[in-house]
Amino acid sequence: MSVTILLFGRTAEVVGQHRIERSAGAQTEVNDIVNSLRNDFPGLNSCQLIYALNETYVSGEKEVTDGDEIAIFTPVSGG
Amino acid sequence: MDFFELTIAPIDITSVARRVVPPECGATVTLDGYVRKFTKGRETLHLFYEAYEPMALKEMQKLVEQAKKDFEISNVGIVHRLGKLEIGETSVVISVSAPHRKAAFAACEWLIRELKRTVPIWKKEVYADGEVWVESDSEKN
Repeated sequence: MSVTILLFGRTAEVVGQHRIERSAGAQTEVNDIVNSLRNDFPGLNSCQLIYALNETYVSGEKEVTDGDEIAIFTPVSGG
Repeated sequence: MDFFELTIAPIDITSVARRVVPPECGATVTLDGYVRKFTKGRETLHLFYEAYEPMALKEMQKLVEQAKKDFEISNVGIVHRLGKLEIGETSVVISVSAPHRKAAFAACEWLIRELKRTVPIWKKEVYADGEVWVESDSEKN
């Protein structure tokens, strides 16, 4: 299956893009996606990361399914 | 009418405030949040705001719905600016109308606090000697 990773603000700057497509095996959790991204972009290791799955906040244990959109970002700072 | 919007155009505060006014109300409280020049003694040149737009709108809608359950208010309007903002420009407007002002003040305070904590918008502060993506500290906000 394939998933879309969305990045914003600091995470987008560290990774150098706002959007990445990744393939994933069965029973993949958000944590697995995040860990593989941390491996590829070690700059993320100094970031506190928050996740959203299909536009809803989730914890890292949430399983992903084909076509999911996973947003990975640092604590929000609007206002 | 309730509304929640993101815009890259300058925000007209008065028109936001007027849009929430129904006949049964006696007061509207409007927060005008704008770009501060000095943060912790460091001078900001300008700000840049970025949002996860569809999710930000959903989270803003949730806040409006929750506020209307928890406070005796009539309507809520929230408009948040995105893109580059100069010092003194309005970044966010929250207008709350209510039959009586007390509930409007309380709801407006709750809304800005929750917006800063939950709505996926990020702010980059640009200084003369660098720039940084701000990360919220919900304890302080």
